[in-house]
Amino acid sequence: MFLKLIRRLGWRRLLLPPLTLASVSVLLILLIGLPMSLEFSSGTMISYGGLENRPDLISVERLLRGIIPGEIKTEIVTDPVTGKFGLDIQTTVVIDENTENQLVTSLSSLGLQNPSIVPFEPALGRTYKKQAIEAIIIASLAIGFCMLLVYRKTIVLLTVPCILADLLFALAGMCLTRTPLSLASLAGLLLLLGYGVDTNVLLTTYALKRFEGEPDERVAIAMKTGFTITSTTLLTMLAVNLFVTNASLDQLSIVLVFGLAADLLNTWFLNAGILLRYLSKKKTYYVAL
Amino acid sequence: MSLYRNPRILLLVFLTILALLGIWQPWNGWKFELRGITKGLDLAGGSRIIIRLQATQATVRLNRPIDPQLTSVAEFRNHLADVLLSDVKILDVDTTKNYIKVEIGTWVDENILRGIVENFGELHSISKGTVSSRTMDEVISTLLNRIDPTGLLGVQARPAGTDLILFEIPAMEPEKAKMLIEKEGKLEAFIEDSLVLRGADIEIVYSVRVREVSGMYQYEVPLRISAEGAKRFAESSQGKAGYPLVIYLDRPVDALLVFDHALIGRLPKVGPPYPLVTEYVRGRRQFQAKIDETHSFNLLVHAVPIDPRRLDENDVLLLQEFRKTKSRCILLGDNSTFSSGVLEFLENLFDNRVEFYPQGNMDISEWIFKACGMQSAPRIMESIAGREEREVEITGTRSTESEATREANDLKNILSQRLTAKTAITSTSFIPPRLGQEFSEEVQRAALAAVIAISVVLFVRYRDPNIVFLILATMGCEVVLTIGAASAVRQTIGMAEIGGILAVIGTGVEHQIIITDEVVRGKIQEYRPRGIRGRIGRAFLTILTAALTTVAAMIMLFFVGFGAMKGFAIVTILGVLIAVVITRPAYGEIINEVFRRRLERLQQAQSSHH
Repeated sequence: MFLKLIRRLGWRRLLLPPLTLASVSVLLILLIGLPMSLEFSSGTMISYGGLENRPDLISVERLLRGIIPGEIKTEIVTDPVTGKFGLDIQTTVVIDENTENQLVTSLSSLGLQNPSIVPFEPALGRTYKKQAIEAIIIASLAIGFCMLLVYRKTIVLLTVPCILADLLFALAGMCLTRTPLSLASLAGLLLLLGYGVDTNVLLTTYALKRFEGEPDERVAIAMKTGFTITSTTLLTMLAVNLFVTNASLDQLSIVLVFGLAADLLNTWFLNAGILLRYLSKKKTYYVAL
Repeated sequence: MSLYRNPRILLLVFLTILALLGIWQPWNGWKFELRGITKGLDLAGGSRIIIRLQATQATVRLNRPIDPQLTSVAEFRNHLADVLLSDVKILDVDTTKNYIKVEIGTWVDENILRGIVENFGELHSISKGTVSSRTMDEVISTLLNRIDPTGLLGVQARPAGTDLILFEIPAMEPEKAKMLIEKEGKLEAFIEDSLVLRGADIEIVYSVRVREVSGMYQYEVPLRISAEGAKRFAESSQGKAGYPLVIYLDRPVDALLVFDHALIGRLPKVGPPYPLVTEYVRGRRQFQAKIDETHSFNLLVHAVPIDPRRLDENDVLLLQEFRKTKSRCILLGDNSTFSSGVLEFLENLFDNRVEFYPQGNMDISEWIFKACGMQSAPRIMESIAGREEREVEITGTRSTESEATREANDLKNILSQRLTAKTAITSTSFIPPRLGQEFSEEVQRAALAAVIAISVVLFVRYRDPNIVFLILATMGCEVVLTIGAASAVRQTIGMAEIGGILAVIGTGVEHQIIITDEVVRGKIQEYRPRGIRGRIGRAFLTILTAALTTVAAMIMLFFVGFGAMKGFAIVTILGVLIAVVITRPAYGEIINEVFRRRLERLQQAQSSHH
């Protein structure tokens, strides 16, 4: 089945769908923009302290929804010395003075008085933004170096953009579903790096390190295993996404669902197309003696 | 060989049980709980601490025009730093209008500052509520280093407002977190009254070494200093081998030390042991100390001796003079040392900012050193004096090994604390777990959904419940092993680490599918026919390459990345290593055995058919 598919399409047409997908992803990211979660965005923190009674989070949140756009995190904290309660509200947008007044007035109806209001900067901002980009670049270089070390052919360096294309579509998927970039979705993106490496190594091993049969036959065999692998994870993540309501797990699984779907194309069409073209140009015959 | 005696499988089973015991810790209670795991902020709650940076930003118009080499700016900065005895940064220089904006790492009163800059120019504006982002970043990275030196805890720090930093520290009591943050201090090192190294100059402090040298124990604290710091050190230490490098932590520069004048007579004249406070220098109004018979240094905190029962006219004038530059007063002793009249006068003079520093069970030298913030005064070695080297060592000699080790470690701790601005904690609170009970139920549901999904795909692919069971069982062992290993290295398990565990599960299943596929397949003719074992070996090439690549990428992530990325990287590296070394070989053995038996049955059936 996979062999037929590869033979019918030929390497040229194999490249077409993943490349289109990658360009669409870039467009989507640029047009819609990636929403940011608390860890990555600046915002405002409103804290109330010295409360005798536990504040009712549900009514507070209901009140806030009408006033503040974006993600809101409310927490009941306790003072370790007095044992009194406090309420910390964090928003993902920096609120202006009008909203601030409106908010303070509404919350005072719940008996909450004298908040301290400070705007904050992203926890993972500034110094870390540079680091995050560096981390991805250096990790990609490491992947490229290892591939080169094992296969000893420069063509395998093209694996790196194939893996990065997975991340690209995952980011586009996040834009579409309004999934914010958070610690959880960041973990998902990093996971994708690992999964992308696995499928591409599988493909490259079969294409470059095995010699029985024609190249497209070997790729087809690897493809069967690869599709089993990816669909296992894909289905798992889909199940997690459907059965779990927790925001963190939801974000993580959405990233992986999009990323793994893209990985099917990027590994078995894009990278396979590239490798098949390379092998067709450079026919080597091995004879068993 | 029977599967039950196969060493690879036995190893897997043994380690899995060990990991399970480590996570469960049944000796702490029979009920199954995840006791061995340090849970992250999301899972276990933690502390939220807000600290305020106390810095003063000021704009000054200089009298002299600013030259292109900025020497007048540097002079002005050094003057400020010397008088205020504090870290001073140049934020902005406007050469056309002759304005210069500076940031001082402590709060300074407007009138005091006005007096200090008088000779250089005119104070244009002053503000106390704003801190530059550079200082903010410096302080954040220092404090992170102190609270979470390995990065395993996953502390989050974010700048808030104009001068606040908000810390979220998982799985730590607010009291402990507060203690760690307050342990911080401002570091300075002097050679003969000139400031050569500041906290920001010390880039890394390496592990200490202690060795025996002709009956004595010599300790070495190797460290790396900034290029600028190295230059200053070279200039100041020229020809000063044997002189002390005096290291202060939180030198009370804004305070005046006041002491009973009878103390001067009680100062010891000679050692050992050294260092010793030997004299009070009236001309400088500072104490002087010695590190051996020939080398001495001044304790750079102004101190004034008084009659503790009654102040005479000279004392009063002197104290009033010092009040112009000092905002608080530290009294050596307690309220029985000084008469109530003296105390009342000082309270009024210093607006109630008077503190006692009682002697306790310290000897006199130690007492005065501590009050001045003097931590250590190691000797400058001949080999580094006057040399512009960035990798340097501070050495000292003690008579016992334990003493040398303790002193070296103290020095290391002091040197690693480098805050360029003063800080004060404004609030601490305990945060309850964000995800909590509900989350663990969700995780269980997610795990069940995942197991069902994986089983379905595997069954459709292989049509063999045995293989499905084997893959799932191996995967289960791997998860237990990875969590066990992660908790053994004290990694906090939070959101990012759960991601890492998922990665381990995912790649685990993938690799087992690769092995199984290699064994069951046989569609195209191999150029060299292989047995089951040969095929498993081939599968391992793919797996090892994938593992190598993933580990390489994760190691890079660990070194370059921050908090969350580090945790993810550690868990993934551990998981992949465990997989390659323990679980994958064991699974290879099991699947080998399963197919060998199947082959035998097939051959038996064929022969009986014949």
